[in-house]
Amino acid sequence: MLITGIKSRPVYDRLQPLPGGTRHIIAGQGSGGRAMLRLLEEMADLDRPITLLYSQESFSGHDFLTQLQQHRAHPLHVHATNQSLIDALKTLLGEAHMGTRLYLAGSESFLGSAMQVATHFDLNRDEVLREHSGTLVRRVWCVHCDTFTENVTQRVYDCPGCNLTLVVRDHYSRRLAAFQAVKADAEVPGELPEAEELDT
Amino acid sequence: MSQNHGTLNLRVARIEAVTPEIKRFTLVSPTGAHLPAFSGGSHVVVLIANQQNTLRNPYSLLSSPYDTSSYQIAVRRVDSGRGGSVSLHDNVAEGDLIEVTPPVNLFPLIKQARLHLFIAGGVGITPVISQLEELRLSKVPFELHYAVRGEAHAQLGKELQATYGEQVHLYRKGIESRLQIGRVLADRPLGSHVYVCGPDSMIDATLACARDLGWTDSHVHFERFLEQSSGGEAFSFTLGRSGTTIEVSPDQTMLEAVEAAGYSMPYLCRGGACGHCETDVLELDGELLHSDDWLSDEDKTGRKKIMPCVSRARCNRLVIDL
Amino acid sequence: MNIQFNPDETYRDDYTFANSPQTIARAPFPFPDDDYMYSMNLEPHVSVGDGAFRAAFDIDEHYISECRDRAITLEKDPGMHYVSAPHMMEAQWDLLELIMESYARDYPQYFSLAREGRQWHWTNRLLDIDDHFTFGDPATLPYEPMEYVTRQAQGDWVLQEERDGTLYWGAGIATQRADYSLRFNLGMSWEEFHGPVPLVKEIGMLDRALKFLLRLRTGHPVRRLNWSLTVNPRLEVSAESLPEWAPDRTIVTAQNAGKLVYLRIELQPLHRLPRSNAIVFPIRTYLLSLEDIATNPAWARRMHRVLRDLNQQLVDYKGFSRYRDAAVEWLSQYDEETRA
Repeated sequence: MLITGIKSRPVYDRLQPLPGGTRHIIAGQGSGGRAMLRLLEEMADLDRPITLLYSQESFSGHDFLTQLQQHRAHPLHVHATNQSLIDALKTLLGEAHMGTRLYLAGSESFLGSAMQVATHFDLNRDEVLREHSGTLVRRVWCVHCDTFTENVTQRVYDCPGCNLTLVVRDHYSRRLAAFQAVKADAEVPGELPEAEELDT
Repeated sequence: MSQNHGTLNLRVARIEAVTPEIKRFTLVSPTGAHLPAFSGGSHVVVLIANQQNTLRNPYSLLSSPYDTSSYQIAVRRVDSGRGGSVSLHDNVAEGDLIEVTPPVNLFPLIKQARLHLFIAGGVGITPVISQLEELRLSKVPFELHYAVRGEAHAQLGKELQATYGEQVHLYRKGIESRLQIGRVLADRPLGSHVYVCGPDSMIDATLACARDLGWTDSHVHFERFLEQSSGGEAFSFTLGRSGTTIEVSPDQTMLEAVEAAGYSMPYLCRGGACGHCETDVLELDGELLHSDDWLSDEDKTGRKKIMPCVSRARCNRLVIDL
Repeated sequence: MNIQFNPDETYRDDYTFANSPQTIARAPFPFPDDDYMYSMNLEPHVSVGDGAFRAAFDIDEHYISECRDRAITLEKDPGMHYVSAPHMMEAQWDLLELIMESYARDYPQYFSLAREGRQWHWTNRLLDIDDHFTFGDPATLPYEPMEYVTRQAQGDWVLQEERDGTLYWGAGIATQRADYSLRFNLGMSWEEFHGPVPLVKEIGMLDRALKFLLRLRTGHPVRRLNWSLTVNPRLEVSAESLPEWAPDRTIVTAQNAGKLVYLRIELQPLHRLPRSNAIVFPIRTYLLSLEDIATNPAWARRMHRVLRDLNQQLVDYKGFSRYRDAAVEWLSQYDEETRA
C-alpha cells in the first residue's frame, strides 16, 4: 500500500468488484498481477464478461502471467510493454459500452498513464478502481526542460534532458502522471539538499 | 459586483398558449437591458402574490444562454396546487410586470460527456430546451426522447424537431409507439450521460433501467419539479439579551432578518463556512435545520449551536444568545 | 476619477517598478492580526469605498506596465504561461464577458463595450485597442477569448470547472505565479493542487472552502486575500524560471531588506461563471516593498510581528526561509516592543 503522507499523491484503492457492472475490464502490470488474481477470485461467482490485459514490463521483475493464464474462461491480452497495453486499452474502451467497470493494478506510473485514458472516456470514480503495487519508484517531470524520467528512486538526481541537478517535490500531476522536479541548487549553486531515498 | 440580494422585475412581453395546459411567457427587462447570463438547465423562481402570502414557483428557462435579451418560461396550469400557476395563467397579461429571482442551476449539463441523452415528458421538456441551446456551440452528439400525452400537447416537441431534426424523437400517445427507455439507454458508448425530467414514474423508470444496464449514478441526472422552492418556511426566534422577537420570512436568512430589524451581529462569509456567526442556543422547543459546513456533527445534533447566516428552525420557541 | 499611469516600468532586469504613495495607501493589507494563520477569510465581494475594493476587478497605476510585462513573458515562452483544456471554450467566453462588462462599467473613461446581439465592439483606450468581434466565434479574435481579454487585464486568472463533486483546473493565464507550474497544475483537482500547502488539510479548511465554493452563485462573488514575499518587484517567479530568481534570496541583508524584500498581496475576487458553471479565480497581485509598507507605521509594526512569529512550515512553503530573519530585523525598527 502506498503511503499517503504526500497530500497531493492520489489515494489509491483496493481492487474489489464494483457493484452493478455489466462487463469488467481488468488491466495490470508486473506485480499488479497479484491484485488482479485476488480480484478474479472475488469475482468467481460473477456471471458477467471479464476481459484481462497484462503487461510483463516490470521494474521489480515480478511476473504473474502463468497464474493469469489459468483463468481460461476470460480472454487475456498479453503485452510486452506498458505503452502497448495502454494503446490496446484505449481501443478497447473506445468500443465499450456504459455498464463497463475498469480495474487497474500496477506501479504509479502505469496507473497514471492508464488513468489518462480512462479520463478521456469520462470514466468516473464509481466506474474505475486503481490499486498500487510494486515499488515506490516515481515518474518525474523536469519543470525546466519538460523531460520525463522513469523509475526515479532518489530525492536528488541529474536530469537526462538538461543536466541540471534536480530535487523531486512531493507533488503529483494527474494530467502529466508524474511528480515535479525543480533545480536542486537554485538558490546557491552547489548547495544541494540532502540525498534521500524516496518513500522509504 | 454582488447584485442586490433582490429579484428582477421583468415585463411580460408575450404570452402564447402552446398546449391546452401550457403557456409560454417571454420576459424582458423594462429598460431593454440584457438579462443575467445562465447555463442550460437553470430555473428562475417567480414570486406570485397570493391573498395570504407570496408563492414562490420555480420555472425552468427555455431560452438560449447565448441570447439574454429575454427569458422564456413555460407554465403548466395545475388546478390542484396552491394556485400559483392558476394565478399566472388567469391574472397576468402582456405588459404586466412580474418579479423573478436570478437564474440558479441545479440541473447542469456535464461538460465532459461524450454523448448527451435527454428523456423528457410533458412540461419536463422545459429545462432541456435551454440545455439543447447550450449544446449548439458544442460538437458533442445528443439525442432527445420526448413523450407527450397526444398531438394536442406536441407543439414544443415539434418546434424542437424543426430546430434539431433527427436528433429529436417524439412519442405522441396514440401516434408513435411508446418510448422504451431501456432501448434508449442500451449499448451506449462510455462517457454517455442521461438527463431525465418529467413525471415521477418516468424518472423512476429511467433510474431503474439505467441501473439494470450498469450505468453508475454519476452519469444519471434528473430534476423533479417540486412545488416548493428552496428557502424554507417562516419562523420566529428571540434575541436572548434583549428579549426581542425576530420574524424570519421564507426569503430571508436569520442573519438577514436580524439586520432588517436594525441589529447587527458578527459575520464574514455569509455562507455557513467560516464560523464567524456561530451563536449559542439558549432555549429550543422544536428542531434546528442546519445548512452549514462549520459545525461538527456532534454540535449539529447537540442543539446548542446554530449558524444564523444559513441555518433555520422549525419550532415553537427559539432563543439565541445575541 | 483618473489614474496617473506609469507606462514604462520594468519587473525584471533593472526593476524600475515603483509605487506612488496613493497606490501604497490603497493596497489591501492582508494581515488582520499580529499573527497569521490560514483561515476561511472569504467575504462577499461587495463594492466598498474608493480603493482596491471599489471595482469588481481593480486596476491601478501599473496597468499599462503590467500588461506589457505579460506580453513579454508570453512571447518568451509560448505554451508555458497560458494553457486551456479544449472543453473550456465556453468558460473562456464567460470570462471575456465578465471582464469586459466589469471594466467598462467600473472604468468607463478607459474601456467601452457596445453590443448588438452577438456583434461586440470593445475599446481599450489605455492599450490603444479597438476591436469588433462576434461573441462565441473564436475566429473573430486574434487570440483565444481568454488570452485575448487577460492580455488586457491585471493579475493572473485561473478557470476551475466543477465536476464529480470537486473543482478542477481547466485553464489559466499565469505570468505572475509564485513558484508553481501552470502546465503541471492543469487538470488537478482541488485537493491535488493544494497538496503542497502546509496545514490547510489538517485544520479542515480545505474541505470547508471547497463546499463553500461549490455553492457559489452567479451574481454573488466572494473575495479573499493571500500573500507571499519576493525579492525585487519581479512578477514572473514561476517554478520554470526558479534558477533565474531564486539566487536573489541570498543577497538580502538586514540593511537592504527594506528595498529588496517585497510583500506580494494577492486579492482573489472569485466569481461563478453563468454558462459554463465554472469558477474564475483571479489572482490580482500588489507588490509593496518593506520600505513602502513602512510609510504606514502600523502596517510595519504588524508585519514585523507576523513575520517574526510565522509558523516555520509556512515560511518554508512561501520560500523565504533564507531571508526571514533579515526581513524581521529590518522591520523591528518600527516595533516599539523590540526597540532597544
